[in-house]
Amino acid sequence: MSSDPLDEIRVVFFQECAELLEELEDGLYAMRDGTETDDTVNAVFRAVHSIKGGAGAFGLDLLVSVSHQFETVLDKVRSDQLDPTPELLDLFMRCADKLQDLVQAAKDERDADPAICDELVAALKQYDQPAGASAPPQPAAAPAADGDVAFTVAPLDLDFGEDDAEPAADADWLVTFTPHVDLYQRGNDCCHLVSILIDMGATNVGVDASQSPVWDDLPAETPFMVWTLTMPSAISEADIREVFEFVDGDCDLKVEQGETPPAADPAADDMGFVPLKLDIEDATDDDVDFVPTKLAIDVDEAPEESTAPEVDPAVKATAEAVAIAPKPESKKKSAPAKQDAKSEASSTIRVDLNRVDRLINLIGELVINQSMLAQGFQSLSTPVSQQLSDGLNDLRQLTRDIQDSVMAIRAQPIKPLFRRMSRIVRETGESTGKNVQLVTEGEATEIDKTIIERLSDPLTHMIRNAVDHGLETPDTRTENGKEELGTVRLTAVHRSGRVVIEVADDGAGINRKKVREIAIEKGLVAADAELTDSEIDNLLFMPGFSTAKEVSNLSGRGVGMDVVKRSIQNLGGRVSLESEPGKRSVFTISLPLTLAVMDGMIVRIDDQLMVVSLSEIIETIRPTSTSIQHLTPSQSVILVRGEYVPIIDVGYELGFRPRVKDTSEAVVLLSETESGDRSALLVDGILDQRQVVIKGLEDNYGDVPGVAAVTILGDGNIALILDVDGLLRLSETSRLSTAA
Amino acid sequence: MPLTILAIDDSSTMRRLVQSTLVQSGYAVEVAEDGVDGLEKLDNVRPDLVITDINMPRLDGFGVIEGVRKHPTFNKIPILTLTTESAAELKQRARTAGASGWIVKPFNKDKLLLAIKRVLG
Repeated sequence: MSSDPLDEIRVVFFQECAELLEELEDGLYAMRDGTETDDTVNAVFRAVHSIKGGAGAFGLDLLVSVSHQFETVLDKVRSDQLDPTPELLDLFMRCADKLQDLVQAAKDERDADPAICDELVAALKQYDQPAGASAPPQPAAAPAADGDVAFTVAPLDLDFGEDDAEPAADADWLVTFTPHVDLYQRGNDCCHLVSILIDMGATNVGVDASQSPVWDDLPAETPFMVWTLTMPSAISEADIREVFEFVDGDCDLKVEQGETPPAADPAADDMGFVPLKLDIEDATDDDVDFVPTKLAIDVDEAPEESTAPEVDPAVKATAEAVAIAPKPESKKKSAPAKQDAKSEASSTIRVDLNRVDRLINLIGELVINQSMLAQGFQSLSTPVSQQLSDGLNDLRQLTRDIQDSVMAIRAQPIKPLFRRMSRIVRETGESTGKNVQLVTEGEATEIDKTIIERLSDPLTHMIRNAVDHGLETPDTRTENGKEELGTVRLTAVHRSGRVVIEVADDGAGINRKKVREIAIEKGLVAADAELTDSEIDNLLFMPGFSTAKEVSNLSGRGVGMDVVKRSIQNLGGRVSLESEPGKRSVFTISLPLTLAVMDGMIVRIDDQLMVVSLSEIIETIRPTSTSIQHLTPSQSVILVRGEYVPIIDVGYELGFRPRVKDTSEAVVLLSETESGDRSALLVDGILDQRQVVIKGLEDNYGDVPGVAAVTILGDGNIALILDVDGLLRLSETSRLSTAA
Repeated sequence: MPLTILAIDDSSTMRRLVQSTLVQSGYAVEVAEDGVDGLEKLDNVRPDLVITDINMPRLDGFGVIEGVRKHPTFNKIPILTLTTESAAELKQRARTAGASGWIVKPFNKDKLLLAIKRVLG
C-alpha cells in the first residue's frame, strides 16, 4: 500500500464519495417521490457536506464551490425556509450529477469544466437570494472565509517585524486576562493560553490572586486570578487577541500598549500585580496553592517547542506504537455500532477491486485444477476407492461454491443503475411532452460490477427509445382509451444462472407494417421476404434502422438499436423483443452473472479445441449435402430456411488448415454479425458445452485477430476463445485479397 | 502517556485525516462514527480532548457536547467542534452548548495543532 498516508486517505475519500453520492441520489429521489422521512433532507445535506469537507482537505476547489452552494441551498430547504419544488429538485439532481462528474474528474486527476459549475452555482445562488437578504450574506464559494483567516497564521511562524501588518509600536503590549467561570465550564484552561503567550515571547508573566477568598471558602471551579503578561511590541495586537479566540466572552481581555513594568499601569497598581516567579516564593501559603504547577514548569523551561505538543522521544516512541496498535482494535470496536446504524453500507468493508480480481483469478485456476484432477482420476486404470471419489465430489462442490461466493463479491445490486434510468425517463418525458412514470422491480438483483457499468449506455438508450418511440402522446393515449400516464417498467430478475432485465412500455407496440416497409425501403430485407412477427420486430436491431420520422434529439444521437444489441452481446448477453400491437413492447436482456466465466461451446477445428461463446450462437446446423453451395473456390453459402448465409471456414481463416472440401462431417454455427448479417461458422465438430474461465491473452500476446481470449480445459489443454467479429473481419480481408 | 483524543465524525475521510495528522504529532487518537458511538466510547477511551463534527446522523455534535458536559467524569474536558466556514452561527451555538473551541474545515495540520494547543497545552 501507499506510503503517504494522504494517498491512502484520498482512496478512502473517493470510496466515501461514491457512497455519499448514492445516498444523495437516493435522498433526492425520495424527496421527489414524496417518500422522504424526517431524516432524508438531513441525510442529503450531510452527504453534500461531507463531500465538501473532504474536497476541501484535498484542495478540490471546484468540488468545494459547487458543494458549498448546494449545501447552502439545501440548508434552507432543511430549515423550511425554502420549498423543494420540482424545479428545485431538478436543479438538485443536476447538481448531484455534477458532483459525481467532479468527483470522477478528481479521481482521474483530470481538470473539470468550470463553466457548467459556474452555471449551477449561479442557479443555486438564485435560491439563496431571497432569504439571504435578511440573513448575513454568505461568503462566496471560496473555501476561505473570516473564521478561517483568524486561524491561518500560526503565531509561532511569525516573522517578527517583517510581515506584521500593523506598524510595530515601540511600547510593549500589556495583556490583562481575567477568566470568568464559564471559561472552565467550557473545558478551556487559562494555563494553556498563558503558555501560548509565553511561547510567543512573553517577557513578563504575573498573576494576581488577591481577589481570591481564603482557601476554605474557595469554590473549586471559580477562577479568581487575574493574569498579566508583557508581550514584545513586534507581535501584533490581533495575534495576541487571536490566542483568546476560543474564550472570547468567557473572560475580560485587555491588550494595551504601555510601559514595560506592569506597575506603570494604574489599574495594575490597584490590583497589586506581582511578578509570578517571585510570587511563588514570596506569596502566602494560600496563594502558592493556586499557582498551577504546569505553568510554573513552562515558565522555568525555555519555550523552545513549536506548535507541536511537547513530546519527549520516549513518549513519541510509545505514541507511534500506539498509533499502529489501536487501528484494528478500533475497527473491531466500531463494528457492532456500525450494524446499529441505519445505513446498509456501514456493515461493509472496503476492498480494493484488484484484490478481488486477483482472488477471482485464483479461483479460476482452482476450478481448472479441480477439473484436471477429476479427469486425471477418471483416466486411472485402477478403480478409485469410494472414499477418494466422495472426496473428489466434495472438492468439486466446494470449488463451485467458492467460485460462486467469490463472484458474489464483485456483484452489486442493480439499483443505482435503475435509479439513473429514472432520471432518463423523467428527462425524456419532459422533452417529448409525454406523461410517463418509471416502475422498477428487482432493484436488489445483483450482477457483476463491470456489467453494471457497461450496461448503463445501452440501457439508457433503450429507455429513451421506450419513452420516445414506444409510448404515445397523451392525446393519442386518451383517444385509444388508455390512461394518460404511460408506464415504463424496468425489471431485473435472476433466472437460471443469468440476470434477465426487461424494459417494457405500455405504448403502441411495434407497428409491424411500417417496420416492414421501412426495412424493404432501406434494402434491409427483400420485398417479397416472408417474415414472422418476431422476425419483423427484430428488424429493429438491424443497423441503419430508425422508425422515427425525424431524428429526435433524444433517442437519435446517431446510435441505433444495433449498437445496443452489440454492446449487450459484448457482455455475453442477448437481447430480444416482444411486442403486442397497441398494447406494449418488451425488450428482454439476458446477461451472465459475471464476465470472468462464460458459457461456451467447445468445438473442434482440425486438431485444435476452440470455445465459442453461447451468446454468439443462434443455432447449430449439420449441413446436408445439398444445403451448401460453392459460389467460387473461396466462397460458399449455406441455405438456412430459404436464406443464403455465407460460410466462414474457421480453420482456414485462422490458418490451421486449408479449406474443407468435404463438409459432410462438418458442423455450422449460425451467428449474427455486427452488421446484423448472419454468417455460418464452419467447424469440424462440437464436443461439449460448459462454463469456461476466461483468461486474457493481451498481456502476453497483444491483440490476436480472431481470438478473444483463452481458457484452460479440464484436461489441462488450452483452448482459444473465438472472437466472432474479429474472425469475420479477417475473412472479409482474405476474401478481398483472394478476389484481387 | 500521550494525550488521548477522541475524534467523532461520520465522514471516514475526515476521521482518517484527523487521526493520521494527530497520530503523527504524538497523540493517541480513537475515532467514533457519530454522536452515539462517540458518547458510548467515552468511558473506554478516556479522552483528554474530544473533537467532534457537527452534522452527523443519530446524534449530532451538539448532542455530543451536551452528553460530554453531563458526563460524571469527563464533563470538564475540552471539546473542539469541526465546523465549516459558512457556519459562524454554528460556532456560536456550539459554544453556548459548551464547546471549548472550533476547528474550521478544511483544516491543515498547523491549524489543527494550534487549536488543540489552545485547549490541551
